[in-house]
Amino acid sequence: MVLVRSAPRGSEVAVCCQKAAAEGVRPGMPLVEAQALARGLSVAKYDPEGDRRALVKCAEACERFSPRVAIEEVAEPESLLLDVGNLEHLWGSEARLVGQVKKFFTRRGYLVRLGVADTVGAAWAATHFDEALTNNMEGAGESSKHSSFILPVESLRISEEAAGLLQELGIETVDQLKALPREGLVSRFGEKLLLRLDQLTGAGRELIEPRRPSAALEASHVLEEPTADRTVLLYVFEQLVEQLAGQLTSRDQGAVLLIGSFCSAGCTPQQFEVGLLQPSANARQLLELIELHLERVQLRSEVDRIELRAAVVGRLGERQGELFADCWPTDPHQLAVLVNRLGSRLGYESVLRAEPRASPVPERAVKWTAVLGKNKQALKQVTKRGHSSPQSSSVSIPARPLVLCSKPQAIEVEGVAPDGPPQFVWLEKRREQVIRCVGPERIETLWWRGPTVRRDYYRVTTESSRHFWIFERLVDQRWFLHGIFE
Amino acid sequence: MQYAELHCKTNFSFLEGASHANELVEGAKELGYSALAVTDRNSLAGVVRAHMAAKDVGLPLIIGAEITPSDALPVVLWATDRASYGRLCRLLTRGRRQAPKGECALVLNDITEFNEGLIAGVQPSALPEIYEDAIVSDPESDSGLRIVRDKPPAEPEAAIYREIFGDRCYLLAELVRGADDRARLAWLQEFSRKADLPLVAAGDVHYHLSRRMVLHDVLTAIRHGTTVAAAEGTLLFPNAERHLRPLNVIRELFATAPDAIARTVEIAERCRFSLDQLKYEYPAELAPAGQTPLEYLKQLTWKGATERYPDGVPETVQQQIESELQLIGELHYEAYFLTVQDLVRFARSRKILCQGRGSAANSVVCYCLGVTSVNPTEIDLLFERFISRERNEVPDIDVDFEHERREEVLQYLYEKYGRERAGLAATVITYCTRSAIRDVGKALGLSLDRVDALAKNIEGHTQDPKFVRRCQDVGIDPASDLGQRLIYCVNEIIGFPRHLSQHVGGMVMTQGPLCEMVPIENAAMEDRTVIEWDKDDLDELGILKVDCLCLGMLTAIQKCFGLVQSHYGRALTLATISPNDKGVYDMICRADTIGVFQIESRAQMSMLPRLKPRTFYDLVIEVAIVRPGPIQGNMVHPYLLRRAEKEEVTYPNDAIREVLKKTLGIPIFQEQAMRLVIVAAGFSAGEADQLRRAMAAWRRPGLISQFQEKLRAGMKANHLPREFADRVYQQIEGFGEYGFPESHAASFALLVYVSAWLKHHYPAAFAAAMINSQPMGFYQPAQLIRDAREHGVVVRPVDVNWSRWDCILEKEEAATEKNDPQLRLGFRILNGLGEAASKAIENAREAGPFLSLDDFARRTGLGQAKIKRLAEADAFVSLGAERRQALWQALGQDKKRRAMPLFDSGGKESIAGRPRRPGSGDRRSSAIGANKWDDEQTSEEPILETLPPMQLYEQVVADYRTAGLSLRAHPISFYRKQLQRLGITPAQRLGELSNESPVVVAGIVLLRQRPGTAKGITFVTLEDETGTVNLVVHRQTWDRFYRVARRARAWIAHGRIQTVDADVTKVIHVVVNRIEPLGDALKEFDVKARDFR
Repeated sequence: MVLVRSAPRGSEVAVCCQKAAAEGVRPGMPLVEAQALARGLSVAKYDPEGDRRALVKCAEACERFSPRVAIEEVAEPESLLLDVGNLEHLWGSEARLVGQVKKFFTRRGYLVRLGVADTVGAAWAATHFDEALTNNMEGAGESSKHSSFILPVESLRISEEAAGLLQELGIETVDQLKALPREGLVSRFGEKLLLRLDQLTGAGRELIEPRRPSAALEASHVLEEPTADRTVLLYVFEQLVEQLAGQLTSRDQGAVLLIGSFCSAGCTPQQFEVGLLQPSANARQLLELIELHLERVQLRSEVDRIELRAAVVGRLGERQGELFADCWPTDPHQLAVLVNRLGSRLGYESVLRAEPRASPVPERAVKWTAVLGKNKQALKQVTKRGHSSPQSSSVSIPARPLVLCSKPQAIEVEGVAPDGPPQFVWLEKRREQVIRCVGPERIETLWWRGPTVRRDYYRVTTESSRHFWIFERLVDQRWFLHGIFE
Repeated sequence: MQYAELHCKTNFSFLEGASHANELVEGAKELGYSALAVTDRNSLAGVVRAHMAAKDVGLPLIIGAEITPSDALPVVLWATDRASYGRLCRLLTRGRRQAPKGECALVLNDITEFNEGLIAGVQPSALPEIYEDAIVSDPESDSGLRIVRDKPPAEPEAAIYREIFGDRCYLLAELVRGADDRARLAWLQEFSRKADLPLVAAGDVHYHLSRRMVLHDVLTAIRHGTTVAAAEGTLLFPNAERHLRPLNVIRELFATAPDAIARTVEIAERCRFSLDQLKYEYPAELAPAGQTPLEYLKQLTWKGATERYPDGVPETVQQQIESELQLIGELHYEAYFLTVQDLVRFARSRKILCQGRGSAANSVVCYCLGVTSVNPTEIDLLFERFISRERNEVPDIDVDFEHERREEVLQYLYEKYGRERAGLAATVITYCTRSAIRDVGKALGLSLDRVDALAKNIEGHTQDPKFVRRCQDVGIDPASDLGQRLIYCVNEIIGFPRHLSQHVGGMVMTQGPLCEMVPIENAAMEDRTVIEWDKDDLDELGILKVDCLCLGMLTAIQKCFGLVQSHYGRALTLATISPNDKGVYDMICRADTIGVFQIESRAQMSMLPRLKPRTFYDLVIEVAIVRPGPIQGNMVHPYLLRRAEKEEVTYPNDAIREVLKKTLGIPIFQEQAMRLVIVAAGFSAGEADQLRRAMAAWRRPGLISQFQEKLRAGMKANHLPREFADRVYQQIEGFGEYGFPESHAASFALLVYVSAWLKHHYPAAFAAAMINSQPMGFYQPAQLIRDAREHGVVVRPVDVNWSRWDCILEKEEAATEKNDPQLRLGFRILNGLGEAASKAIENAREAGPFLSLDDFARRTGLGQAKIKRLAEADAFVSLGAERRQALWQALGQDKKRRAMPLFDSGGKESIAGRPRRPGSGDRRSSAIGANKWDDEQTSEEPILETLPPMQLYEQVVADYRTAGLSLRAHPISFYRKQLQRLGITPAQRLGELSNESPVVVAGIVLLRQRPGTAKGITFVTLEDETGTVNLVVHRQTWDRFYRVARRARAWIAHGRIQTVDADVTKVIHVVVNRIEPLGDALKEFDVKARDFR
């Protein structure tokens, strides 16, 4: 198993499992190479953000064991630090506490390595370098503080570079390091090394800084009695929205994503999300959106607690009053409100907008994209653009009809000369004479998507003074109507 | 109807044109065009190819270029005559010289300056949108249409060209089935009338056939660094109309403007310039005023002759000189000889070692001029044989210079003739299979990983059948649309020029301005300017080029000469080394030739014991025979048989005997093959040369078979058996591009002999010189040092108190029984130290030896990083600090480089004398402890004794990591016990095994080599502590163990012994059938295996 990230020269291995490592796979190696080394390698995307989120969740959960839970302070943390001092009276014994923690994580499908020691440094070293622990992951999973394994210098939480240098000097264990003159070490490796050494032995202090819960914008309400009554719920939400809007306004922020949770005893909370096109702290607007959701939500059980959280917030934009703002859709705010409304009712994936796209093939010249999809970028573009779509002017569109058939319709055509312009066209079962004809405009492209599109387009005016856009498919000389000029 | 295409790009508009020049020319001829203009974008690089193709098919060719000034519309310029062509070249030269490599920066003013005589075709910019309602039919106008919308053709930009070119300015009408071609034409006519710019039809041709559109789209995507899908609409043309169109289509398109078609022919007729009009003239300043070049050449030759033959010029030599000079005079080659002589004279004056080679170089005249040191009379190389009177072609002399100093020679030429009169020839870099796969794959949107997987292990310039299989391997169905297109594009794009690079050393010098003959542009290297044509183009037009090449071996020989001079007091030159030294030939016959020029490769070394060279001419043959040409032509084996007198030497007739007698009836040199077709098949010399070129040229397939017929017919006429004819043909085919001319071989053979002589007599100096000239040759310093030690040279490690940047020779002070100088390794073998740091050490050391590491740091001012490198390399031993202790001390130094102190606080008085040299024995005892030397420096940190000592194995690992070699032990030796248990035979004992017996060997991979001629066999050399093992890895084995084969630095190889005439050759190969990696432990060694191909 490897986790990969994209690098300039293709995917590269970010993390690999021990089995892969045994085959010679190393972090930083191109994926292709790793796959050549280890057959049947399973590959997943490396997601440090997700890892951190998961670790934060674990940390939150661990608050049940200790009031002081911290995440190690490195760029990509993987360890939790729990202060378990003076907790014995709560858990009976240290061993029982360890057993509980282990059980807790095992039940959730995690392999966990636990180390208990007098110092953070020693505990970290134990979890990372005590081989007895590694070999015994399923077993007791505990390293007592008096365990006496040989600590390699890497167990000091020092940089790879420093560890490498020490190795070059022949210093491989902490004991060897201790034998060296301290002043000499400081001038060569800096204070950090000694600090880490002291933190391991206990000569230096290291506090577990508890992870502070993020100052989330949230509001909750406990119902006196469980209920499924929507009017009640709506009423509660009204309170909550007021509360939240107040918090938001005071920070000059607006909600972009709201998450509402219905909690009931014994069930996992039921959640719904409300996304917004633009940050808003307008209670009326927020409530309106929640209301739309509430209409559709099917409650699984009666609710005893409701939470509302502004999961994503943004700065409230400044609005300047406009002198002539009467022409739709000049006001992006109104557009945003409309999109939110439609989106809440129909699902945001159904709210689309047309975008011109450079393609010589008419049916590909317009692209439909969700106004507010998963793609937050698109969201920004839409809100920024507001007044008009500047793209339309950058793409020069040759003479194209206003009405395009959703699919070219096969028609009959009579021409005089082969490969010549059509003389008569059959439209709606009527034979019409072509009185003027412009073309052909030849389109031959899109070969990279399948068979090449090869067409000769003509703009024809028939005797009934109608203008059509027709084309001959060059592959089989069949004719199609593709658009009507109005 | 007559039509000439005036706007056409070849693939020398890099990544724009999608057809070769010859495809376009042939296409135009087939369609019945009356002429074709080649108008590449800001370039004339493709015109010679087009010119050749046009001559072949008999189509009038117009030379031109599309110019894109930054401040005006693009314009197509056509040259009417020689003078206007010169101006076009000057214009492009200016644009190119002002811009970075590959680009062209011009403004309208430049075009104005050089406009005279050129005809211009203006490309109107994007048209305003026209709708049909703006056009009504008007029977009275030419087109039958009239524009009613009163929109003036607002194109003042186009009109500017009218002011510049006057009546030589036209408006290009290019109809490519856009939205409304009829209206566009009407609009153009309207504009043409208003602006007084006659309208001329053109096709904006980018490829010769419409189906090349696919390739063109791919090229466009590559040019913009994007994918075809992303280029849709904005970058790609909407259709495939930019090809050469049949005349009836053009007539129809321009039905309302027949005059625009007529004008194409009119312009074509005005353009009378042809590249045939270019005349090459030698620079005039070669002879001193008042003397003709020939007189001057004669004077120099005779003067040189008296120097070469101090005891009087022998009669035969005099005659030879006379006849050569006469021939040179007849053919007017004197200027060329003087050009070369001038180069050599300059090099001599700068003490740059050089040697000429090539047909004319091995003349007595060149020997007297000092161009070559091979005495041609000794090896019977007759000048006339190499020069053909029929073809008035410049003779061929390449001059090799020391590779580190060649630039001086080039700059001398630029300076002497000026940038306008001298330039390097270009080399056209074309797509090979691998780069084609990479670029096409990316353009088609394959992921980088997939592209890499596809491109891996595929090489060559032709279609590789493996490619289709690779596609399947990475999950691309070759039958799918994508698969087919990928394969089509890759195959078509192979051979397409990608960009221009500089030729390895071909200098062109002219009497008149070179920049009026061909545009000159900047090279990627600073101070280099390059013309737009390559050597084939120059050949075609008969333009002189002197090849100033660089040769690493000359550098090494020169350095070795220097060392011999200073340490042994012997002055040597190429010409004065005593010939016919038995010891040297014995050494060569033993294949003891590591480091010797040319004969150090695996193939050469296995040939030596079989060929047993005993004379200089044997070396000439040796150099020429192990080449793809003779190998492919199946000539090696028969020659060996005949040489071993196992086969009778016969000749079909006397004329053939004359040609082949020196090589026992087997044609080994290119010249012989050419002579053979002349005497045996009645070819003229010109035809023979055409044949040679036809072989070499990929661009004219089909030509070769004509020659085969002619050859058979000619041989039949001479009553030679058909079988003989076929064999000769096969041999000639083998030569093609890879044949080695005797004249080159002779010059190389001299360097072979000289380097072997130096290696034999002065192994220490030779090894030092070789290492100091790296990178060159086949072997790394590690192998060179190993070889030197095996020859009894004492090698000492790098040490801050003794080493310099280069390796040097040291004399043992206390005289031992053998007072040979010893080789002291230089700082250059250390990774990442750099010459500047080395110089700082050498300078600081002038005041006396370093006493301690602190002293070292203070006096050299080096920063911690550099000192750390030296410590890791164990270079402080003479200061009493072993690797780890030195590293500890180094880490204590300041990070930054310190300013050199004004006064050396080390104190010169404290140095009583030079410290005793650390001998090769116990280093500790000879160490210069800081305390011993200086009592005042007690403030210095003492050496830390508590660091754990290093094991030998660790030392070796560290040695390899820092220098790529170790003087202590071979890494494999640490594994010997384990290897023995695995039944692995050491290299040394392979000789005890009989042929075909199974064997397992292990060692570090020194090199992997896959010659093109070896049918996919890879030759691998393994090294263990006892010697080297030669492995033969067949294709299937290589593929099966691909991963290990390509990556592992040390192998365990299972196979069978193969000895061919083992008693004679002493060459043992192991034919491998299984490869294993030799443990991960060896990964720590930084052993670089080099891939030679």
